[in-house]
Amino acid sequence: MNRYLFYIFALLVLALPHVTRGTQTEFAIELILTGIFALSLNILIGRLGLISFGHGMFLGVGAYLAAFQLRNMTDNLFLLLIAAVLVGALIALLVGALVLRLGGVGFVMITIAMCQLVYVLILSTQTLSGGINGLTSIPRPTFWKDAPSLLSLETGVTFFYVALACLVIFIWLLKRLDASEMGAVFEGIRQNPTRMLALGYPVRAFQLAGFVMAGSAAAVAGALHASLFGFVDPTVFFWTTSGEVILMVILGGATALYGPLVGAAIFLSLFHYLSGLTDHWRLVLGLVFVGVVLYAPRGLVPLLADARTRWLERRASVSKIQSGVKS
Amino acid sequence: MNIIAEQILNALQMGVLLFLISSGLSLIFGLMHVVNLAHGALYMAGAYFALTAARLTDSFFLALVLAPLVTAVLGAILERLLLRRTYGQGMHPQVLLTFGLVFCFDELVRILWSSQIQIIELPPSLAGTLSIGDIQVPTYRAFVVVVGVFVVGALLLLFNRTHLGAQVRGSVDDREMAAALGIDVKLLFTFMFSLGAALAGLGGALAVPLFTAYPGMGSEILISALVVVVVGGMGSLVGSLLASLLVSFAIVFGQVVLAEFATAMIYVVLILFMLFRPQGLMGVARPT
Repeated sequence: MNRYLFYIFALLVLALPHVTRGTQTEFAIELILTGIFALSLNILIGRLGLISFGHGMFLGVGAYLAAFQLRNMTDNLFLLLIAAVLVGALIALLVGALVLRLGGVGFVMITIAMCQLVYVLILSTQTLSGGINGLTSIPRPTFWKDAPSLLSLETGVTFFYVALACLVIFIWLLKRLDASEMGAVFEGIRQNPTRMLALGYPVRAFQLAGFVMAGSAAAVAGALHASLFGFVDPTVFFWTTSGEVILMVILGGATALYGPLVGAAIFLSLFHYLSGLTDHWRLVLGLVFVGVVLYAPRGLVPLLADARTRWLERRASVSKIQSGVKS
Repeated sequence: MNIIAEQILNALQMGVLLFLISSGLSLIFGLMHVVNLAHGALYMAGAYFALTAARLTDSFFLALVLAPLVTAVLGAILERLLLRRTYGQGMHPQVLLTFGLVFCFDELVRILWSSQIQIIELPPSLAGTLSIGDIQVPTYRAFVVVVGVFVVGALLLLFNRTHLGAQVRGSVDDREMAAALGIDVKLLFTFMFSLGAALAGLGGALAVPLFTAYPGMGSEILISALVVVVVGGMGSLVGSLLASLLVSFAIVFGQVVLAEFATAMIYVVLILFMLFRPQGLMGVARPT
């Protein structure tokens, strides 16, 4: 039953770009990319228990990398993705080594500050980075020189499949991580870092490894995001961008594999719908945030999963009673 | 000579504003272990309360008294209604809750006061310049520094010389023991949160004549305040004071030397501290 549902869902997703047009397809791609971004942050929040308030930094690193590489060097898609993974990982390694020196609450504060530092640096390097206006007319990447028009990323359909492939690969990697020994160590660190340290695990090295994974995945999302819309501006580095992605993770549920993905979808849909309806959509967003923290702190996906289990249990007990009555 | 004196006054005045925001943030953290990301929003609330109070009463001085009081009430309400429900659940819900409040406050300000930049007219007694010897300084900046000195003095007296201050210090050191000795820790939490709110509100009110009032002003100042709290050592009043001065001098004199990179100066200070003294100036090293 579940397997068939999955196949139907997969078919629907694959068929999606052929039904949507223009901006709708772009919205679908944005959903996927934001989903990757939220999933990458959840390596830190859900798996290591670290609330990073500076994850927008890596989205921005990927975006600015794409701007430089696509405009000035090469428009090859694979080179872009490889560069995003490597540069994202390298910067995450440097930043992580610094920010992980502070634990707990200090970590929250320092990640905000680091992200904000990049924001300020971008603003003050006008000639190189475009300053507050950002960089525009970023071309979309290509598979290879003179690739057939069917494979051109200028059409939303191909771009959609590229983004989807990245998402599927990333989810597969996350599943591998969760099933691995490293995943178990991560879970141990989330529950009790002190005990893991006492057991002889180099806690900070594992946290750094998680930080690097999260950073490189976020950079990939950022690179594709910048080339999708053709521009990048420094607001990705402002600390509220990082706060918004935390909301996505918490909204969907940090403990569920697909939670951040669902959270990102809800957030973006709310954003698109509400910003068309009212100028004050941020108030609604803020209230949703407060409401989730107070009434569904574990997020919506675990909440629904719980409801489903309860419903199944009740149905099972009801049918047991009924069959008891019959016999 | 004149220029250096003026810059020193600028740095002092900025240090006062930073101290008013960061001391509350630091003390709330020290006592309640809450990172109040909405603290910047309280600063903004103070600015707008002062704006309205000045218009209603026609007196800037009265606005400077009323705005912190109203902000304190707002802080107490927030603590009682919302924050209290997240105690004992670790720090994540609190960080997230206060971040959600940032959105709400920014938008409420846009609804209630519009998104335009707003200014307060200074009363004539504060508007001019003041000559100390042969140095001319803007009266208002000197006034801000004087207010700051009074607030620092009052806070030091409160925490070091009164029974209430002793209760707070005791609860910071060991909350369970303080509760066991009969201190009403819950009441202290509300008191401390609303004291922090009042300080931030005063900071916001004082800042309007210098930087104007606009939605989002809180999100900007919060970052500097967080840097001050980390540099000063979390939970330490004296640490906040020293770090506020250090950071504001770094910004002001950075502007003279480095021009456009000056805003990056505070982060340079921050990174140096993280590398060589992660617990901050007056903080106690804790195992992470």
